[in-house]
Order: sequence, then C-alpha cells, then structure tokens
Amino acid sequence: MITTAPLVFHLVDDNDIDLAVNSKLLELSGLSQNIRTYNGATSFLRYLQEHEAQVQGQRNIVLLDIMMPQINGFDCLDRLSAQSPQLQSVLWVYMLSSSIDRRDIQRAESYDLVEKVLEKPLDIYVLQNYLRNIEM
Amino acid sequence: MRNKASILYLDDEANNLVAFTAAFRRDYDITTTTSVEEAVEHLSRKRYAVILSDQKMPDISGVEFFETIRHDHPHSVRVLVTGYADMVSVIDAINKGHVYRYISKPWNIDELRLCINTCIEKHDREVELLTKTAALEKSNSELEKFVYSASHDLKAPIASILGLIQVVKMQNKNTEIDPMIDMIDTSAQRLNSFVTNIIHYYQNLKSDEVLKEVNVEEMVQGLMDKHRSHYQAAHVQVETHFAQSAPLLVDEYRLHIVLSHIISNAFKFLDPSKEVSRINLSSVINREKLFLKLHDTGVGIPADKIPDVFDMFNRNDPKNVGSGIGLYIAKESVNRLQGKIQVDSTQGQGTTIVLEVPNKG
Repeated sequence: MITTAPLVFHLVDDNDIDLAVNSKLLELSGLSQNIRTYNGATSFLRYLQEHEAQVQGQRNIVLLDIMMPQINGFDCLDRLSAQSPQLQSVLWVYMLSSSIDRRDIQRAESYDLVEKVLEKPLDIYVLQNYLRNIEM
Repeated sequence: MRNKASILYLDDEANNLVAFTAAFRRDYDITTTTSVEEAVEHLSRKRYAVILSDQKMPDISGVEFFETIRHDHPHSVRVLVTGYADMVSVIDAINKGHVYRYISKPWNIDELRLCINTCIEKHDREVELLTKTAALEKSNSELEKFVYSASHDLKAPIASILGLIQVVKMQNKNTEIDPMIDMIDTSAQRLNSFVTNIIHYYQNLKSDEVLKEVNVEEMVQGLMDKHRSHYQAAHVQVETHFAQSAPLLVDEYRLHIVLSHIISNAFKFLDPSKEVSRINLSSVINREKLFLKLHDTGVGIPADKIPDVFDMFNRNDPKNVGSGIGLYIAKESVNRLQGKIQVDSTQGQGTTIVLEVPNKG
C-alpha cells in the first residue's frame, strides 16, 4: 500500500568503526538520510519498544551484526521474532558478518525475519539490489 | 633406573606362579593370580606391558581369555604358556593375532626372560608410537584451529578498513591523495582475499556436505554484482543465461566457493586494452547435473600454463597479485562436489571455464 513510507535504516553493531563506516556509506550512497545507529541490541530493542507507533509507519531496514557481546545477532533475532506480527511486518533484517561462516548463514536463514546475510564491509551496490524488492 | 615392566601372569596351577615369581621378581613388577576374574580385576586397575596366561585352565582356555581382554587392553602384549601339546589352537591363536608369543612348559628361565624382554620392547615401541601419534594429531588440530580462528579474527578489522576506504573514496577528491588511497585499497583487498582463501580452504577441508536446493541464478547474480562493484567494472557487459528443468540439490557452500573464485577471476583478469569487455555465463540444470560455462574476453592464459592453473600457489601473470590459491581451492571444492572443472583459454582473447556438478536430487 504505502511504498512511499519513509525508509529508515537501523544499524546495530558493537563496533563503533563499522557503525560509522556503514552509516556514512548509506548516507553517501543517497539510499536514505534516515539512519539510526545502536551500539548494541539492547538499545535497538528498547528503541523499537518506545517508538512502536512511529516504527510501524516506516520501512525499517535493520543491519544487524552477528558477533556482538551480551546479546548477539541471533539473540536479538529471537527477541524480534517474539514481537507482534504487525511490527515484524515492517522490519527487513540483513545480518552482517565479517567472516561469513556457513553455520551462521544456515542459522540466520532459518529466521523468517532475515532477508539475507551480508559480508562486511557493506556493499552498497549489493544492498541496493536487494532493497528494490522491499515494499509494504 | 627405569621402572620395572609390569607383568601379569594367570595360571590355575599356583606352583607355576610361585616358580615364576621366584625367578623374575628382581626383573619385573609381577602380579600373579589363579583366577580369571581376579586377572580381569587386576587389568582394570593397572596397565600391564605383558600378560602371560596358561592355556589349559578349568573354566576357560588361555586363548579364550585373551580374546575377552584384547579389545580393552590392546597394548598389553599377550604370551600363551602351555604345557599341553595343543599346537592347533596355539597356531590358530597366533595367526589371529590374539597371541604374540607362546612358551612351552616347563620353561627355560633364560628363554623365558628373552621372550618377555622382546614383548616389553614391543609394548614400549607401540606405546611410544601411540603417544607420538596422539601428540602429532593434537598439534595438527591445534594448528588448524589456530589458523581458522586467526583468519576469522583478522577478517573483522580488514572489513572495517575496507569500509573506511570506501567512505573516503566516495567523499574525497584529491589528485594527490587519491592514488595513495587506491594503493591502500589494493593492499587491503589483497590481504582480505588471502584471509578469505584460508577460510575457504579450511571450510572446504573440514565441513560436512550439506545438501540443499540451490538457486544458481540468484547465486550467480549476487556474485556478479559483488565482483562487478569490487573490481569497479560497471562497463563490462555481463550476459547470463539460465535454463533449468529440475531442482538442483548440491552442497551450496562449496558451489558458492567455486563460483566465487571463477567469477572473481573473470573480473580480475579483464583486458583493459579491449574496447569492450564481456563476461558470458550460461547454466543448464537437469536431473543429472549442473552444467555451467563461463566465458570472458580477458587477458587469457598462455597455452603452456593452462595445465598448471589448478595447482597450489601457481601464478601465471607476474602482475597477478593473488596468492595463486584461488583456483586450487575451486578445484578442491569441485572434487568434494564430485564434479569436473576444465579451463580453455587463448592468450589475448579470453578464457572459458566449464563446470559440471552432479545433481544430488
């Protein structure tokens, strides 16, 4: 219905450099100017909870790092999977990993929420191609 | 002084045990028993270099006794003591490997000592070999683990560096600095591909086959996109053609390794002197196999070098900055997929790779 709903990127990564790099790449590529960064899953999940109504009206692209301390990417996926179907329907999750481990890929692909596992550094061209299919 | 070797002697005639102990107690650490149960009990508590057993006992023969214990105590050397001319069963036992030596009663002390010493040497050699093999296996597996985890740990910072370079390239336009940024980029890319290759190599070596229905078109498009942007080859004309009459069931990861290396090479060895560069890929999937052909109009490979392209650390082009391990890994992965890969090339004109992989569906 509303494919014009704003496209918002949520970058979740414990590595500050990668957060800076990826948000800058997204910004420079012109994909979106609406980029939020979180240095851990906890703050991202809290944001979703506190801004649910707002999030519902957006197309939310989540770039989720797999290797994170405390709550790693998979733990975060588990918690996202427990959210309401309405919320889940506006989330498109891309898992990020610097070393694409085949067990990680298999595990990630078993989640309905996960669109794709992407290798770091983020390849904007590849991401752009995937994002073409995202509609609400 | 070295420890005395442990000897266990089972005989239903206590006299023999007494005589044996009297003769050898200075030479060996001796345990004797007239009961099979007790012998088993002793074995469970201590390791014996040599086990002697009488052949003719009331409940069980010596050979039978050895059969029951050899599995749990494979390194104890077994000696059958027999005063009974039952050569058939003795020969049979020796041939089956249940018994290393036999001694006939009444024994000659010197002969028996010689026999036991031979057995102890055999035992010590085997134990030493076993210890060394175990140590070797341990260090080998530790080395593999180290290489693997080190490569993974190296990947993360390299990825950050590559990302930063991308950001700088997108922002900065400075004629003096840009060439240097490009050089940093090239070096970081090289480092990245070394490390990726090491990971691929170990994953191909170690991981089990996981069969999965694979969408080759999606895999190829993803890799084409990735390498096109990686080699900044927007000008290259990429044509792909896919035909499929059956689902393809293969080990997705290994197929990905193979395609990743051959597609990467197609972009890597483009010929900058050509006005138009083309990469054509066609894939046909039927119930039997995946047949994939990749043609590029790149620099090509000299005829005399073609037979070596799949060798480890082979680099044809002195300008090629890779480790020369890419096609080797591709070939190894093809082997694990039980497929075939062939290269045909004309220098200056281009290269054709033909890949066949059986469909496990």
